[in-house]
Amino acid sequence: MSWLKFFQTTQKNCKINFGRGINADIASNEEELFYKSYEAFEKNDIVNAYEYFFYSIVNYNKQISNKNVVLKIMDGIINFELFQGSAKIQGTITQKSLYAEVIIVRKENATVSLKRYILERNYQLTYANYYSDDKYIKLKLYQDNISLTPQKIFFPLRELALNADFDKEHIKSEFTEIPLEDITHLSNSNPILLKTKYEYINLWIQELEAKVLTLPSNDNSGMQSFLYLNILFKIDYLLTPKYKMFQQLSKKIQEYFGNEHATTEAKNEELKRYVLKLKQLSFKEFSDNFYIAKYTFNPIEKSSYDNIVTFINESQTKIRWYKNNRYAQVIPTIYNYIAFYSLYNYGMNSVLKELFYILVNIQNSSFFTDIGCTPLYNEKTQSFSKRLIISKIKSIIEENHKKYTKLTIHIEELNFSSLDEFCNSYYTMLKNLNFEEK
Amino acid sequence: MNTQIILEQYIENIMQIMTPYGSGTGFLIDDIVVTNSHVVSGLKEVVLSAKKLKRTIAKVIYDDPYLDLAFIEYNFEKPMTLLQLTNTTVDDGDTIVAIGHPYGLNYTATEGIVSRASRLQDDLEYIQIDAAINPGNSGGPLLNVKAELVGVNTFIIQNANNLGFALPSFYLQDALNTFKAQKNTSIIRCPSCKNLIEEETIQHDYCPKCGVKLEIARLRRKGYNPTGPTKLLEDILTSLSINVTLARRSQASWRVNEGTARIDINYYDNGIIIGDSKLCAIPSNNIDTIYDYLLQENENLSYLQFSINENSIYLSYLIVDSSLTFNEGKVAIQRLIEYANKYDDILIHQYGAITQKRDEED
Repeated sequence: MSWLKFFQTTQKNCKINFGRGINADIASNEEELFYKSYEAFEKNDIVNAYEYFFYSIVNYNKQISNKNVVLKIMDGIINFELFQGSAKIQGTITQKSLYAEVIIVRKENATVSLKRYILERNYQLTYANYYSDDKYIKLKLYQDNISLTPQKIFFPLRELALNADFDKEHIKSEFTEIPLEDITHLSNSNPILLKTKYEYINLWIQELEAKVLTLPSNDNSGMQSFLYLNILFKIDYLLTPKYKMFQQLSKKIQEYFGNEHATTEAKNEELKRYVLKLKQLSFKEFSDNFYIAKYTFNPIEKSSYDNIVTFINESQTKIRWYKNNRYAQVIPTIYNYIAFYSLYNYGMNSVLKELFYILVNIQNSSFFTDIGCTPLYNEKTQSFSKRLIISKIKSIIEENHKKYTKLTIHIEELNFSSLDEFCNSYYTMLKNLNFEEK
Repeated sequence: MNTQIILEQYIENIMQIMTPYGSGTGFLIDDIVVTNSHVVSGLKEVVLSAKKLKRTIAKVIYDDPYLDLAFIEYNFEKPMTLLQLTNTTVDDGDTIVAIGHPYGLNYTATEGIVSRASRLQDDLEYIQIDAAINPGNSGGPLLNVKAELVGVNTFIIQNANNLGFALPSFYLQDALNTFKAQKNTSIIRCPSCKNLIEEETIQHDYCPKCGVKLEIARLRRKGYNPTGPTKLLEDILTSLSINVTLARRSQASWRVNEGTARIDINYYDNGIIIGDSKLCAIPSNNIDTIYDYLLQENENLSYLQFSINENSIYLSYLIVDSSLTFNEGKVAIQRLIEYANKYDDILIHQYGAITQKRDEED
């Protein structure tokens, strides 16, 4: 056993998911299954076509199915379940059509505001729509099997799943008195992990408040924005709250970037107020925002690698400006911000996602230590687990070499002399990847 | 005469002219509707509507790209007061009134002055005016304070403020005289030799007099031919006994009226086809009951769904272009047209919903 293998096998098993999305591997033969589905549809072999399609959207952790798709096939009829966070999609496929639905709330509990909300949502949706039966309000999808292709199932099912999950979360956050239905598939987060997360959110807020005091008294709005936005992106990726906390956090970020009329100072003030609200959360209130669920569809559209490179370039230019103008105190925050912003905003391929994860682990090593994951950096001694970092990067490249044959990384160019220098060299490495597929 | 009186008195002479490519204005002189050549877009047929004339298909009988004029046959009821061409000259500073349908806003009159009575553009004189004219005003009348026609609003300088140009009425008079002097009703004026060419004498789109290629002849020969999902949608509408030429609002938009309901079908660039009918508005009372009704009906409806946008109830049919088939599309659109009218009545009469206020039909 080489020393590299030794490190790989002795690291703790970190099973926690970070960030949004399916947080799992897609089927290794996903493309092949999708193509087989396409061929079966061409032959009007409906059952096999759907079966291949559903297998193509099953996701895996270490090659074990997450059971995010459950199929039962009998007498040419497929009954299926799909999981997307708070939404459990149940459906039936016959030779003629696909019907799927998600139970949202009990009809008798729906207020006039909720009904208005879902009727307005109907105006925005393309494939799915809300209705009520005798008992429940549901989101439904009907597709006939005429001229079907896997794409024509993927997008409607994705719309149904993502919107049902989003709306259930929205309802829980906005119409607090209305209980959600059909959520028995959700499980509670580990209370010890939750406690650690709660301690960290408070610690990060304290650190943020202390940092704000170190900023120059005037002309610091840009730096303040980095600090406040960074903590929100960080909470989203590392703690991954659901329900109200996620909804409000997303809203704050959206308002910050979407409001062209407000000054940066006013927008910072708004973020500051929200962070203060987070600080005042009791452990119970905080814990109510977490659950464990399975996911089938990624909510973020895939972004081009070039967009991510451009963002890193622009951010590095900003860092240089702060360096040249002697505002060193904000630089570590911006290095963090680049990773968290990218993970929040860009739909990445699995290589980039894993490479960003390594960097985030290094930048937030005490958090990773305290939640039971192997840290890659020691904050106290300011030393890197250099060999482990290198082995992790190498294994990511090796695992994906079949798909991206030109993917190479010049590890010797990574600079381990300080955390800032490392981050800078790591971002330069991330900008120079070749994702050309064979 | 002030602007309001002019508009009231002569409004019946003002036409709206629609093609799949856009809309413009026209006006009646004698028994001919005059407009710009660029408004009729090289088509032989256009849709005409006026205060007392519902959307009707009419024939373009003269197309003159040189003067940017076109004449359309008018065989309908004539207005009480007819527009006349002026006999007087136009001078700098004269007050003028432009009437038209800018951006589809029907019968808009704008007042201004003649900034320059004769502005040369290539070898033609134009009246430069400061009255606000916009896309949709093209082909509309420019009148003096005696409500006499002094010009045809023809073009503007884009992104400038109120720099409009009208073709003086003497050019129109000449064109009308030469056109009426011959008996053919399919005439193209050659922009090169300026001769009036009878369409049937044109071969391979070349002017028989001077040999230049006639773009208008080519366009008229080709006509408007939708393709792909647009054609499929028009085939579906035709199969439902809907006259697509009259229903067409643009190349990718159609409107059908059924009873109290208005159904719009739009084909968007992202491939989504949305057929929807903006039914009545939400009332002040029993709102919760209406919501319950809409949500319950959504359970039973196939192809269609109820939704709310702003304060109005919509009945919609949405489909991606690649999924649209003739048979399914026909059932869905037929149902949309039929149900829109039915549900509008139910919601208004049984649930107290408010009838939509609508501007007069264009």
